[in-house]
Amino acid sequence: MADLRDIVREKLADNALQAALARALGIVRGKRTAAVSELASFEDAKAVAAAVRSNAVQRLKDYLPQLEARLADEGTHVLWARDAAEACRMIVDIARQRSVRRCVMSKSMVAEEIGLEAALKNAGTVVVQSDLGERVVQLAHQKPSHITAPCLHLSAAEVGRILHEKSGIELSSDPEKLSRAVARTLRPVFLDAQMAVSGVNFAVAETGNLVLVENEGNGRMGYTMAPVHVAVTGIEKVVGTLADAAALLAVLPRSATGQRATCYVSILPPRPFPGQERFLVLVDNGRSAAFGAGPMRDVLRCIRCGACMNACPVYERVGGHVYGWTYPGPIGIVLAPFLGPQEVRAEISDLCSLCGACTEVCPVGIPLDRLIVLARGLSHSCRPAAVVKRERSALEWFGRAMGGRVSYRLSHLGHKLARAWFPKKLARTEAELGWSGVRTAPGPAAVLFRSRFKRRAAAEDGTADEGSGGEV
Amino acid sequence: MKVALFVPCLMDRFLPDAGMAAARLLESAGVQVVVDSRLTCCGQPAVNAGHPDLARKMALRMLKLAEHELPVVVPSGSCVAMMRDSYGLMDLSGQDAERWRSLRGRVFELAEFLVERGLTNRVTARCEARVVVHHSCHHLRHVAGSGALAVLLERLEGASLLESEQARQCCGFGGVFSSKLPELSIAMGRARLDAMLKLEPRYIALADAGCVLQLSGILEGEGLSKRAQVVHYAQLFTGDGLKPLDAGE
Ligand code: SF4
Repeated sequence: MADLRDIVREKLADNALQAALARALGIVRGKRTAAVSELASFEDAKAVAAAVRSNAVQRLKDYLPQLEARLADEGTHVLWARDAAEACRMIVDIARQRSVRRCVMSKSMVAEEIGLEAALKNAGTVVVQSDLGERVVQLAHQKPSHITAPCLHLSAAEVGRILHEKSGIELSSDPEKLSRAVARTLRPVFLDAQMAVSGVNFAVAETGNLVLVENEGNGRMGYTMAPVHVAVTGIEKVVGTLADAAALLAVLPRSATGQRATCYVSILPPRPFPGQERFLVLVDNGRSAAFGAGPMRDVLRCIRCGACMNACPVYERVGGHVYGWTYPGPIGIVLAPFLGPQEVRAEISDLCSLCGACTEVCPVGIPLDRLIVLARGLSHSCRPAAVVKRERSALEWFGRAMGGRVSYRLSHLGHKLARAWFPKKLARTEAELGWSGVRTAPGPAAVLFRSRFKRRAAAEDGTADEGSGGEV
Repeated sequence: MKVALFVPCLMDRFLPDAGMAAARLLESAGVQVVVDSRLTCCGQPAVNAGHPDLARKMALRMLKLAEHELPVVVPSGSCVAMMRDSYGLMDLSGQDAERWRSLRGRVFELAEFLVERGLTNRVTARCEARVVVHHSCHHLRHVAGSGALAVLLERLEGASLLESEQARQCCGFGGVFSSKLPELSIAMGRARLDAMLKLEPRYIALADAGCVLQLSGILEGEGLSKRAQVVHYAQLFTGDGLKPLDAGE
């Protein structure tokens, strides 16, 4: 992986990206705020949703077997995949055994996470993404940059150009028009597909229902028409009851797109449609590790609404590709230690200023900024030992400087002397720390606050009465 | 009423005017202020960099030295959040845990303290200037919300308080973040400043030393220091370190 700082620089200088981000995030933030403020108390709804998810995660070991039993009773096959490779193998096998030549895939972050599209393609199956955004990134040979809006990094004009060049759709930058045109190109695909792959928003343990939300209806079209439906999801997506799922539906669309409800909410019965085979592939792929990681377990509460990245001031500046894997933004940082590829685990947690805007909006109460600090702790083992050592020695040096009255004053004096005697050397250090040029490093105070305060107290002594001053 | 004022390392060393302002603001509310010069740093840099073990020593030192009955008042939201919450990452036990419990109950951010103790009505101050308040993240999200500062600012006569649409968005400081990804950090600060400067403020007031250094560093680096002065909000009340309206740079 190229140096993260270089990638960031490149994104900051990409004017088209900057414009697309500003526009899209401006809209989605505004819509979310409006959708949230029309409720008497979104905070209450959030608290309920947080309790639902927290309970579901604590009780995973009860709910998952319950879900499996419910589904198996009704004829849905439940498969368990330890990791991405196993999940892909299972799904490829399903396709092979049924000689599936064409597969329609609706938006699924887990499919993205495990690299399912590539696996199916390698096995000779043609895969067509049916979600408009996913279709666009697929045609452009790109990766999604957002978990609910895959082509958020592109302007409407760029989307129009890609669709025009790659699938002959009339040039336009009107999203409505484009979406209708893409729907038309998808019709034969739906008729022809022998297999549909979808994600799952919530799997209900008590009833065996699979709940899926979407806005275009293409997902539903795919998995109701194809003779084989493979729903693939993470093991954490289970909830106890339909009422639990309803509590989450109250916060999910408002948080994600600022909608009261998505255009389509599908609640699939546990029994496959007549003449259809259905599989539910439950993917672990690091989730058990997160489950066993103390306070980090809370990352499993996530319902993938994307609100945290929409609110994130870092995401806003650099977009989703910088994070280097399927899940960008704050949630991507805290999932990376468990689900992320090795190469992103070292640096991804640097992409955060710990402002807490994500935690403020997360509808299921994940303390994201707190967990990012912990993720930084976990990142050290993935970074070059020398780098970590350097960082630790600098912090140790700082600790010693701050560790006593004398060393504290000496280090301040040292700073002042360096400024007077070795300004060039100091300037180099400041530049290394990123404080130079367009951001001037602060100079050390001529007199520390503590000294000023003491002097004032001393001056007042005798003249003043019981006034302020002195030491504790 | 007596409090121990803790002016954290960044403010002590780089923004002593803000420290003096915090002391004087408390005094103007009738609070007696003492300063323990053995208190230096709460340990935040190491924790935020993901090395809580390295901050532990500093935390233990802080807890020991602050083992008194006085409220500890800090003019920095991030240090308060650190002492209140992040010390929880350090596996404190026995006496240390006891000390932490005690400190948690009596450590306050400056505005938060004045509001919670009902002392703001004793504060009277004038500041004839256009002022934009930028909400420092930790102050806003982990400590006092925007409420306490708003209540306190009501006591500031003569000021026209301006609302920037980006007032709640991170200034980009972020401690180690500012050094690891400086261009990004600066781009974030730049965006906030652009929005604020449009309002033509004389002062940009924040609630944390790091944020003051970040935004004033960018203003200076870009040669814009004449446009506005970045200060801690306490300075608006006492005038410490404020450059007069016409003097500019
Ligand atoms: S972490 Fe929270 S805000 Fe982010 S995607 Fe998950 S549920 Fe949404």
